[in-house]
Amino acid sequence: MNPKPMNKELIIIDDDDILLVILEKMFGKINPNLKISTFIKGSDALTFLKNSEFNQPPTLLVDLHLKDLKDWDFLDKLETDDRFRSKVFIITSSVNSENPSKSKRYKNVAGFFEKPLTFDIIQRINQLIVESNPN
Amino acid sequence: MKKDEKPYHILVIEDNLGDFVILEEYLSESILHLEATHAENFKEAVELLEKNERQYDLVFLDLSLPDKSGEELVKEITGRAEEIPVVVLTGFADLEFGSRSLALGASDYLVKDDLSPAVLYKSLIYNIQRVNFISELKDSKKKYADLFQLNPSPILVYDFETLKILDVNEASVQKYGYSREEFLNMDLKDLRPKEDEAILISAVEEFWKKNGKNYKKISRHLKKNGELMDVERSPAKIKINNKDAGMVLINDITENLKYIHKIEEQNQTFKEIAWIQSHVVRAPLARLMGLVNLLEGSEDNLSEDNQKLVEYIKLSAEELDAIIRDISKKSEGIYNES
Repeated sequence: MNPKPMNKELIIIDDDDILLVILEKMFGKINPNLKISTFIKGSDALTFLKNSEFNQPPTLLVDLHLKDLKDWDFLDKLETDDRFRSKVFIITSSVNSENPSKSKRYKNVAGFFEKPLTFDIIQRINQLIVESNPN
Repeated sequence: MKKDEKPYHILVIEDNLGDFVILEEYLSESILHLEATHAENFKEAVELLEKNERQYDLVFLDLSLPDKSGEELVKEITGRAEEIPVVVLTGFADLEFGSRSLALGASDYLVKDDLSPAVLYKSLIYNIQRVNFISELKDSKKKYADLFQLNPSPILVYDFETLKILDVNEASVQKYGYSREEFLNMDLKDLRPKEDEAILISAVEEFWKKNGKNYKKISRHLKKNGELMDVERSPAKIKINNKDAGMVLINDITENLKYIHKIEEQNQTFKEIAWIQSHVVRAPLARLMGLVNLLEGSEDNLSEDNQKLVEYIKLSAEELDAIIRDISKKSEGIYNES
């Protein structure tokens, strides 16, 4: 008897609230079982991660230029805490060509995407989330 | 003996015609083309020298003429015979004065009673050459003085021990506004703002320790009117009266630096604009494109007309996106070059 797979969790962090709505809707359409939380502030998301119990680490979708945690600050903070073993996908509206190679310095970064995210990309990210092992 | 074939033109100032004839005869024994002009008294000699129709190679001067003699005569003639050697002819009685005449400007003196063709010829050749050497020496001295004085860049010479200014050229006077006399009462510290004094002291020490090859430094110098300028100093070591001295060539780069700062400021603004392009402007566009994606994936059936409109919005957004990417790419290219 197979245990019912636990719902995967996705946390989206972006200071653009309209974009949060868009992404939430798009992910909801692709995978209605995905548990999604959204944050405008990076610091709020970090607090949430710190204070919550997860069955398995949630996947993170993070905007590169948050208003409260500029540039790579969010990733720097995330990396210094061992409890955060979350897989991170970076999204950015910037078209600076340096960014993708810089993101490779962070071992928990699993992907780098320029906005807008199309349904194809959302589908790919969802696939990675669903296939990820509980540990 | 083979005669000297070079032409010589001499002036003989001699009241005794017999002495003149002997002198001419003696010289002709050694010189093939001798032209001897005869002046019988001081007045005639002055006229000939002042007319200056032809350059004399040498003047023979008898010390006692009817209208002038002695010290005064030597002074007047040497004063007029510029760059022409004057050989004084004396009798035994005036032997002592003969040597004094050298101090008055004469090139040589000969005792009349000792004259011989050989002595005369030797004296003539020797004195003509000596004057040539002296004038060549003067020329080269002037040439080097001009290199310093007329150099378009300010040059300062200072004493290494005291930092006192020992010499400046004309360009320094023009650039700094101090007269030469004022400069000579100043030292290097007076050319710097007070707060830069320590920098000066260590810079001078460093230069003298380092044996100073290719030593170039930028510093701030004060003009007399209080204006500050940025200068590039190229120093060199020299000796003046056996003492260590520094010679500094000054290059005013105030305008160049201003220009560079201006470009740097513009570059900064440019970088900001580039960042705004690549991130700030694109953020709402990405959102717009996201909304279009969502509309397209919507399950509610859009009318065919509305589907077309959504398609048009998408095309417009993509066009704008291409423009922003293009600008962003161009500015990145300029970054990497600079």
